[in-house]
Amino acid sequence: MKQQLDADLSDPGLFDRGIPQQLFKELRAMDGLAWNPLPDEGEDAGFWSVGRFDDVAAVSRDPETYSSAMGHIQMYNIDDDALSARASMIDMDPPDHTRLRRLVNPGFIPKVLRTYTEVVRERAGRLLDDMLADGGGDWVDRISKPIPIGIICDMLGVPEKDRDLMIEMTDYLVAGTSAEPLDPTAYGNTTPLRLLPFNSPAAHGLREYARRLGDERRANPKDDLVSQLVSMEINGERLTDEEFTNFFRLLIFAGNETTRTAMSHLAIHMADHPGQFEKIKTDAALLDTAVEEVVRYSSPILYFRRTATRETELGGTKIARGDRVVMWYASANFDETRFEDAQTFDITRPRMPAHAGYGGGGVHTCLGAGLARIELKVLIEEILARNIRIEIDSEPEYVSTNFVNGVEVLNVKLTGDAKS
Amino acid sequence: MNFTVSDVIVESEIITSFLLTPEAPLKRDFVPGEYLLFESSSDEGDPIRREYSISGVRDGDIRITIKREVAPEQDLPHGVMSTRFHDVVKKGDIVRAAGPMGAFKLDRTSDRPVVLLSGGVGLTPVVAMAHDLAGTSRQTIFIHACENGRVHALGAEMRQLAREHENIVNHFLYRAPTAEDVKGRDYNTEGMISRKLIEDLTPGCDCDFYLCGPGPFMTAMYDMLHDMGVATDRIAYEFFGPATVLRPKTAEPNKAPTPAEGGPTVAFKQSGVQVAWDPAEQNLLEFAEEHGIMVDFSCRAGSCDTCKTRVLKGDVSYPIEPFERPGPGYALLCCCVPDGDLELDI
Repeated sequence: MKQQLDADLSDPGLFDRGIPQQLFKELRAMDGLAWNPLPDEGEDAGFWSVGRFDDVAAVSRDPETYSSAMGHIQMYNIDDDALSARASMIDMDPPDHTRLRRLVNPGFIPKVLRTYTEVVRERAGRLLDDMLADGGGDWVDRISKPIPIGIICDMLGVPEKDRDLMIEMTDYLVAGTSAEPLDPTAYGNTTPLRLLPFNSPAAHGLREYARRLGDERRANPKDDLVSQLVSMEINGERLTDEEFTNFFRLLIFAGNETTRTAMSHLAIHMADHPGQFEKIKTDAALLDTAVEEVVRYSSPILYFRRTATRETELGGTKIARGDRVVMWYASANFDETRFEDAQTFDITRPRMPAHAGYGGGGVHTCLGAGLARIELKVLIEEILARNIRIEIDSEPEYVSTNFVNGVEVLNVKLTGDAKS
Repeated sequence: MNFTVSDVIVESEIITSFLLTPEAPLKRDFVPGEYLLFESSSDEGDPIRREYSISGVRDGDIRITIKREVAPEQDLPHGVMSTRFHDVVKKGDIVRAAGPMGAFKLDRTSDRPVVLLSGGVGLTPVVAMAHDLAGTSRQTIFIHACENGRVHALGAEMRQLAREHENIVNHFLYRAPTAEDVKGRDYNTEGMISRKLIEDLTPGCDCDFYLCGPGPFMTAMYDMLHDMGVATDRIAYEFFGPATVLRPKTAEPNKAPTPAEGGPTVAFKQSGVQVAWDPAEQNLLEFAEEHGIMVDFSCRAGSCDTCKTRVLKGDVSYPIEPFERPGPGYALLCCCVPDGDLELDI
């Protein structure tokens, strides 16, 4: 008999008030891994839940044993034709993964990312001033959404007028992980939902959008990442249409949902612990550790899954070939054996040991980590420069999903000194 | 931030300067070479952004100098932003810009002679540099190439600067002088910048070279300096916008030189680049990237082995401990720094 938790972590409802800390505490305290049955998929179906940091890191760092390509990277299984239709670099192992990473890496090195600092500052400053003028509003809508989508769209070359559409469609992707059924014909979709990422029709919408933008840039290239992706050759090969559209969808999703989540949680923490952030004004070194603590505590991506390519053992539990292994970053980030007073939000927490907010290490570590750090850092700086006090107006509403730790609505009151 | 246009000065047939008064003091003084990032709406609704180098300051106002960009072919549109500046923007208007920013900056800590090489409207950032250098002990050679006197901008200003400061020397080249252009008065040489000209005018290779101009000009100048034996970390050049550097490239440094006296040297064998280690760098991965060498990477935190590289000569040390150190003869570039002279197989 495989040991189990008293709750089903595949139920999005468990995450409606944020990370289920007590459950994850129980998970980490177990001797081995916890088996989570998925009775809807069959009598023996289920996945292993990995909760301790060291176990998550061991899975992350060993793509030969724990594959991203062999099964799905979310906990539920999908058919092989669906797997291949949606493959992007996040669903690959080296060397395929390395080949695609090489294409986008040059856009994400520190030298290039630095050039976005002032752009973020300008945008964050303007949005904060506008919101201050109104005395508050929905932080998610006014701050967390527009800053990250703006930057990733700048990089990709998505026109300003389409940015709200990008937000809407990526939200509708995440909606595919909620318990609510989606309209299969939304965005003109005709593909069976089972073939689409997140089983969401928005995946079709994003693919069609990417295809049009790619065609445009192929005909009339500009200085943006989409133009690069459609024209670049690796060993004489170009990306196929599908590889390109999947790439676009991945970058748009990852470049906006995750940083958005961290920015929403940042506001909650600044409201709860204004004194901690105030310290940054006299000790600039705390800015970097504050960013890491916000990411640790918010754990924007709650989990990713791998699939065992061979029989193995983890944390004392035997794993069979083909078993699904779910790495709960949201648990690893609160592992009391790694982080002192792990449940305490503390911006002075040292950078090392590192958290799992960008993944548990290994080749799939978040490509945009450096960009996220810049965006969060500059946002904090601009908030402090305006002496902004954030007050939570009503209980935050979380996105109904067990995949991202997203905040749907966060009404706040703001006071401070606008700069313009 | 908003800026008020306080004056518009026509510099040549196609080049105009705009003096801008910031609505609030800038966060910091600009370093010569930096630019402002302008944003403007367009008919399609997408905002347009363009970088324009700061060509100088006057009474607290910032000056930018813009060339009207006409379409290279009949079917293509003219430069949207530059056309707007030339045709629409007038004194008293408000424009919106962020900055100053940019990686192409005068290294004020160096005491080497300076060679400023520009082509066309690329002279704007190096004019700002020349103003900054005027009256210092650093010998400054300002070499500018353009078509002819009709498009030569800021010529009178540079002549005056050279008259008033003995450390500034000008040399102007016109590719196709007109009947009105007088050699010796308006320009010094007819034709393009040659290796011999640079060798004759400059005190040798141990200068700080700054390049700015159109792409082909920069490539030609860069190769020429490289052939002359100028160390790559002595050459800095203008670098606009992120997408420009998305193209993988080899051995194209864009930093002003920052050598450490007697510090280690790092050789990237396959790339043919040898540079002095900069102790301000966090690790060898970033150092390589700063010098235009793209190394495969994933985690940048010592957990994935993607940036593992063969060490041909020398040794490294690890200020950041990776999950596992690589075997002998290899280095994880994202976590290590050179421990003495180093040769890497990339």
